[in-house]
Amino acid sequence: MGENTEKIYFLRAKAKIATNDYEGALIDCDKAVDINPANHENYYYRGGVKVELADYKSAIVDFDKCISMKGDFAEAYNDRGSAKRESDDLDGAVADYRKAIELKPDFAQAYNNLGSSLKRKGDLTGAITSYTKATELKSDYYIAYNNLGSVYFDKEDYAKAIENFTKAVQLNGNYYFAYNNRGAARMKNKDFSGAVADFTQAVTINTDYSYAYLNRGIAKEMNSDFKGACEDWHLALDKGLATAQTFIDNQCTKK
Amino acid sequence: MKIFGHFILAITFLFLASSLNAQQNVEFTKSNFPNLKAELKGALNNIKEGDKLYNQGPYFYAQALPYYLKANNFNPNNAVLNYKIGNCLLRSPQKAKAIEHLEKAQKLKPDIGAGIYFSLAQAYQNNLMWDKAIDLYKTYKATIPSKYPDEIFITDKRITECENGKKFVANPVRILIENVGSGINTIYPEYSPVISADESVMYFTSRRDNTTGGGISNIDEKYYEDVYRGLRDPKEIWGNVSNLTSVNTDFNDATVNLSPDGQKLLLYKDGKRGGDIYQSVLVGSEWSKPEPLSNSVNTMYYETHASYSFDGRMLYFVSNKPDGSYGGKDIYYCYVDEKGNLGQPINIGPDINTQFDEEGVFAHPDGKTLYFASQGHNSMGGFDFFKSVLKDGKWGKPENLGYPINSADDDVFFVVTADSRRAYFSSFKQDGFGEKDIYRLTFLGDEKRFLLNTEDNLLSSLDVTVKQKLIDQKLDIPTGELTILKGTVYDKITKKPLLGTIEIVDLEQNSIVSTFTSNSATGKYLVSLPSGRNYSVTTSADNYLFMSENFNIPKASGYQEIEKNFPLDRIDVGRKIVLKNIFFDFDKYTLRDISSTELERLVKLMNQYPKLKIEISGHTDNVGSEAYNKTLSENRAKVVVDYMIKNGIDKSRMVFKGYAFLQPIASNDSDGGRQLNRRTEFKVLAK
Repeated sequence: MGENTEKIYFLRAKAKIATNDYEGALIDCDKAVDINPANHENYYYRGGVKVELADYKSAIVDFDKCISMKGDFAEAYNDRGSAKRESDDLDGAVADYRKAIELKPDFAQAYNNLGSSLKRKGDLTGAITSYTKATELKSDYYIAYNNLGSVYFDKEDYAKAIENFTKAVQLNGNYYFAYNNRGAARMKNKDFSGAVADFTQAVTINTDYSYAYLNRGIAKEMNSDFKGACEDWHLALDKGLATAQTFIDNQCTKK
Repeated sequence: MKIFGHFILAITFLFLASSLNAQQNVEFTKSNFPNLKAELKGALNNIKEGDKLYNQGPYFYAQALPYYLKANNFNPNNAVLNYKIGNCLLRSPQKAKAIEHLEKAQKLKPDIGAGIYFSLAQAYQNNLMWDKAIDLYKTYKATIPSKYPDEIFITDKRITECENGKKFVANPVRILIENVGSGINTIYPEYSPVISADESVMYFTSRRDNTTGGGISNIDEKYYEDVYRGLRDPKEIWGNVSNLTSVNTDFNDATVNLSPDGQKLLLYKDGKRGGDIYQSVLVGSEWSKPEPLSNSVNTMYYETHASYSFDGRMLYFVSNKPDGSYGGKDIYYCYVDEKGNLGQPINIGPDINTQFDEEGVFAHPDGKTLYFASQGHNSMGGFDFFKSVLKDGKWGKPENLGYPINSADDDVFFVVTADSRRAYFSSFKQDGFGEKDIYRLTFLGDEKRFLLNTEDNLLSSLDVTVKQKLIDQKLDIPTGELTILKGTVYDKITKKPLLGTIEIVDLEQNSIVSTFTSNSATGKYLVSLPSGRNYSVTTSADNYLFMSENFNIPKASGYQEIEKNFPLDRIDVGRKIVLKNIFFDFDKYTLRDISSTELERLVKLMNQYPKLKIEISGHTDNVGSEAYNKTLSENRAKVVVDYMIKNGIDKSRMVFKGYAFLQPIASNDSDGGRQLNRRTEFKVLAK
């Protein structure tokens, strides 16, 4: 066994990750670490696989090891931040994302992730700054635009929310999350027909997308189309969204 | 204080003298219509006929209106006529049209009189044009001589109503209003709906052409009121309407309320001594002939509305009798004894009653919420619906149900379903089936939140995105805190429905909460049990052994419906029943206090049937040795027999036995099964 064997395991792990076989990938990552415990990348990838397997505590140990071996590895800080975020250590996550950005100032992904953690901490202004930076660094970053729109939605600045959701769908015409979100913002902005068109577009792209059915029902209810609302909530329920049952129980005639 | 006669004063301000204003106001004179003599004469005749009715007061405005409108077709530019039409419309279902005529009257003749300010302000108020209404009320108030303090008072009240209205309209209540449909509503008026606690039956008033006797009221030329019943099908569609012939007469018969068990229907009928409340009882499948309630309720004044409390032990009612009144119609209550006799009336007090009218009282089956209509409190105009909640024996501050449940107009009769999620009321709406229709209102609660989706590229090492976690949305709609218990009482063997007596006992208080009967034809019953109590429910019938159940309903319980049938055993040798409300201390044979009601019932049964001989037996689960359990079960049976002897039952009529766990009625493998096996039984040995 030697460098070539380590590389084979390493590549096979990556191949398994590509097919979402994280259990298999973890076995190969372990092998790679066993063969060459001095390679910081082996810990880095294994940590990522563990995050996907929701073993955050163990993932953080791997990222710690990686960083101890290579202290200027921005990506490792970013990924450790994500492991911390997923284990609800938001302060730890924010510190790691900031360190990643310090090491790599054009790290758009870290800015996006920092924005999400700040949003969860309730720092909407910080989140906006961070997401905006992400979109400046990566102009086709539609996920960051969608996230930025959602913060403006929370701040009840629906015009700016619509602007950012629109940018997201312009960058990715199949991004049904952004259509759904823009529909909600349009409804808040009193644009009922625009809202219904967006929710409808979202379920046209993904016919199983329960949120958009539920939201279209809410829009219809707000527009006094109670029958239409009930029809949509029944569709949302059919797609597995339990929340819809509460709505139906309260105000829909039995089918 | 009660305010009367406002309009008499308003009319005195009106300068009825006609003067030709050539540019605007056109008087009904020959000189203005030189070539239309016959038409002018017809118009003047219509005005004369209209005036005859109009001058009798607001009740006759509806009849005056068609005459005035005919005259107005001939000459639409007469200020006084437009003013009168406006006033008539203010008291009609077409209130919105009043503005057009009143504004025109003012424009045609600006000096028509101060009354126009009040009428027009009223029209604006009815149409929720608050600021305009306030301005005009203030203008009107400035014209009132100081010797009319009542008029100043009522105008100030109107201004306050408008200010209330502004606040309510700015913060509307989210509701859904639906016409209950053509299964109930027709081109004729339908109103005053009352609903059974399980929302399966509706009784309502209508003035249809098939009214009993076919008579027409000479007051408004509509068919007399009759009471009808509608049913709701499993798809929640109302229909299957029938005339309640046994309660209807050739004159007005109107619904007032239904008792929570659905067995007593309260009605309103005009009488020789004012209006009175009547009661009809469901006997089998027929409603009995309505009988007036006793003089505790009915007086020489008007008693217009009433409602039984959840347990039937209290009757709330509305009367305009002056004794002990806070002004106008007030809400009173009286206690109802076990035989249905009504006690002395008591005014419900100034927390609910005001110097203005209260109406439409409705006691919710949750036992703690009172709905009523009032012209006082913080009404936004006319009657508004309010609710008050009983806390620590005192009615809380009435809460206006808000806009758009309430309007600037009269909103009087309103019943809320047992689960508190819906209400039924009547209203005239342009898109209805004609005249007043019955509507269902659903409380929507707070605005629902949209669900947004976001995601992140969390890891730089892997090309995967992670969706943001979603917390499931909860819909926070308050519901009634009560349990509706319903089912059928029948013979266990023949399945024949029985007229049973259902007794509800609060076990902690050791007191009878209420007593109801099942329907003799169907055996069906329905009772409301407010949350926060531990109840025993016992059903008995003549020549049958009683059957009891225990229901512990925690305080925090929301609304629920429980179906519980009571198959009763005839009193025959060999028959036995479980005494479910006899409780012992754990692992002991000491009777707990809450057992006394069940034991007293047993004593009563033995006294009722003096030849009855019984065996009382104790049973345990299989935890512990047979010897230990036999002693325990025998001792438990013995203390029951001892109690009976102590209460006058001859010991020769009873034997006691302990069977330990040798006669299980359920599996001993589960907690639930073992609980069923731990029991006290009673068996008929001779009768």
